[in-house]
Amino acid sequence: MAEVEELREKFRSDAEFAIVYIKEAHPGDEWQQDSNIEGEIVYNQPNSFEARMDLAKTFIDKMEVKTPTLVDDIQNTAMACYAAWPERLYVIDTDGKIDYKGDMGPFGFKPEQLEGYLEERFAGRGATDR
Amino acid sequence: MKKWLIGIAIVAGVAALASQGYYYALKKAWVLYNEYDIRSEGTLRVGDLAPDLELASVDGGTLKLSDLFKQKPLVLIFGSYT
Repeated sequence: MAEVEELREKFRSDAEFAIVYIKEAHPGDEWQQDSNIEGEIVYNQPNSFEARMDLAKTFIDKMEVKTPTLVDDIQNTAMACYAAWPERLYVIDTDGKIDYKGDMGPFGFKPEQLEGYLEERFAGRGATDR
Repeated sequence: MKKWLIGIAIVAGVAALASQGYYYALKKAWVLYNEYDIRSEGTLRVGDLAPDLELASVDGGTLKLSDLFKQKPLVLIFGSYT
């Protein structure tokens, strides 16, 4: 998440950034991961939209997230539309078409690859032009 | 001779316990993987129209994705805390 926040700082005048908070990847009551227990990130899968919204706010608080965050509905509409679980990156162009689709998370979740795309796309534009 | 037999029994016992523990750990991981792994490639490709959705913002109210990519390209980061 920190890497994505850095990318936003770097490219915020070139692109909008938004997080879509979706179904938990490794909640305590499902596919628990030891790394999350060690990191004290133990939360159950929200069973209502309100619970998901609460957990999204906790996430923003604890991770000090500054990127605007949207929350998927409890039917997981956004997750399903974008094949987004557990995490994935996209860029939608101003014509509404997908211009970049990151690989499937967690192993394909590569902010550095997105950075390469953004750098190529906005190359030649110095920080002062932004 | 007796000591030798006890030694073998202990080694066999430890090995049996260890392999059973390993079996249960493997089974647990495999069961969870099968039950909860919902990863998918989906059908969206680069160049496709992005599904427009209206989503709730943590700051209150709702936002349409199409409102966000009007002026500039929109980087979407899908994920969760856990």
